[in-house]
Amino acid sequence: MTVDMISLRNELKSKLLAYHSERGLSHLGSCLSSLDILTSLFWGPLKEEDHFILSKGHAASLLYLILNKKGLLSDQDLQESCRDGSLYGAHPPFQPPQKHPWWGFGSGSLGYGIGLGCGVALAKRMKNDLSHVYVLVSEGDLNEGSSWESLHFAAHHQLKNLTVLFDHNQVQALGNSSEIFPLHHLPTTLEHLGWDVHHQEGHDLTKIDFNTVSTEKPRFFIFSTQKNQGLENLFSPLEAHYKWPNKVGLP
Amino acid sequence: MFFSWLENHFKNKSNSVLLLCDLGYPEALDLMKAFPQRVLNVGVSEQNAALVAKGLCAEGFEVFIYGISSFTLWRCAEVLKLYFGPEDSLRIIGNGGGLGYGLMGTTHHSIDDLGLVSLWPTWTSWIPARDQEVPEVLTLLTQETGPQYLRLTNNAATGKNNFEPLRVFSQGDKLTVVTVGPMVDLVLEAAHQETGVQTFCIGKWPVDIEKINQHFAKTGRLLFIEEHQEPGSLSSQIKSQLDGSRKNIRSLTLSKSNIAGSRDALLKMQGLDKKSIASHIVSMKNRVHDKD
Repeated sequence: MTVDMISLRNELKSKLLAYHSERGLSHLGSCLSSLDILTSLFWGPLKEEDHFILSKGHAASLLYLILNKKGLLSDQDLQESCRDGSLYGAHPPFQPPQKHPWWGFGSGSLGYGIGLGCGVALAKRMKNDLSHVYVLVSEGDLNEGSSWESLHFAAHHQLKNLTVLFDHNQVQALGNSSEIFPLHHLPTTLEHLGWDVHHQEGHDLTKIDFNTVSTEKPRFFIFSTQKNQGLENLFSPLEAHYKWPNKVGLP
Repeated sequence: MFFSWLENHFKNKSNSVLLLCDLGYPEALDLMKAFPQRVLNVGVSEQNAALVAKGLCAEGFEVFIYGISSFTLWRCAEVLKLYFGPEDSLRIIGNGGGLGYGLMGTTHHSIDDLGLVSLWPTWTSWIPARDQEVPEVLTLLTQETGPQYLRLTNNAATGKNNFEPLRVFSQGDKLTVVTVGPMVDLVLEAAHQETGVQTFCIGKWPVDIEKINQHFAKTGRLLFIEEHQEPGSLSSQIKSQLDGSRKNIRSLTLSKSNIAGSRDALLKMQGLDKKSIASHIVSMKNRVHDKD
């Protein structure tokens, strides 16, 4: 980790707040909780040929800002995104003009990223392609039965070139996940299924580390995160799903 | 028949993969042994099958999904709708199309499949009339781009005709009959004593319906006979595009899927048996229309 990483994260965060405030756009909290994970990934182990799939499509604005910084989304497209007539809505588009593995797939309907990642990982293995597939998922993703079909598949087929990043902010649209769709069993269940499970603090850039001892298993990182990260004085974690700071109140 | 065709196809096409939805005993097991890397049983998980298929297609693979018709479409309909387009070489092989799994009950009936697939603009449906056509149809559909759905319903009848998207099985100028896939042999049997009946059989959808339109303009009488529920049926879609009066158009389609029984029994219960079809043909032929 370098000082540059912190600067990058701060820059992205500042842009993120402005983006949501200017547009009056919800799901800010969903982006804030993923910010440090994706900064660490995109300016860390993610290689040009690796795939990134944003299964929690409601964090699209964060992806747009990152891909803009990486040169995969023009300033104009970014400026026009999430506005009337733009291809880039509040969830990632299905046909981005520029094909690149970091654009992954369109999303917005939850629960599909892991399965799509399984397909790409399987294809890479069949082609002897050593690149990797990363999928970012949310609580909502793991509510969906399709995710569980795919979690079984990946473990059974030992897709070790697949890594799922779980942004575990413990909140979903109507409250705490523990009261809606508890996932306390997740580490045990996944380990029993055949996943290589890792827990990390998701907001400490000095501690996020994607390097693990190589195994034959797909990897599942559980990142403890916070939806109102940095905005604790303004919003509760649930409010951060829906609200945005007005320009005057930008921290 | 599908599996033996696929075995040959695999030998010629190294980027082809089969995802089984835990169906295909015993032929599928032999194919798995022959191609362990390219035949995967994903289990009873159609959503995952469709998602994995998309990942593979995006990386340049041709993917077959084999399962029970209704499940391979409806269980994963949103994935199929959202993720597959003209660039994807997806082939869904739906066994038990129509009432092919009649005795298995409501869950296994597939009488709204063609309507569902027709909602997706880049998809093509294939409905072979007879078992003997299946290899030819498979060869044809794998030459097409975009997602393809093959509706398999057993029909052991044989004939000399090659597969065509829209075939004429009998000629006449009194009544236009339009049927779909394997229903054609029942219709031909029912109409064999009648003269003046022209029987069209749809084997692929979408199809150019101009020939039907032209013939209907001549006869002024049109009878649809289809193993599908009326809403979403190919008949209803054709009807909406025909020119002229609707007065002498009748559709024999299915309305019930809540009873178990053999395909023949279920068709008969809903008026799609030889006797009933024959009586509709006679009655339609005798209808007066403006051009008589």
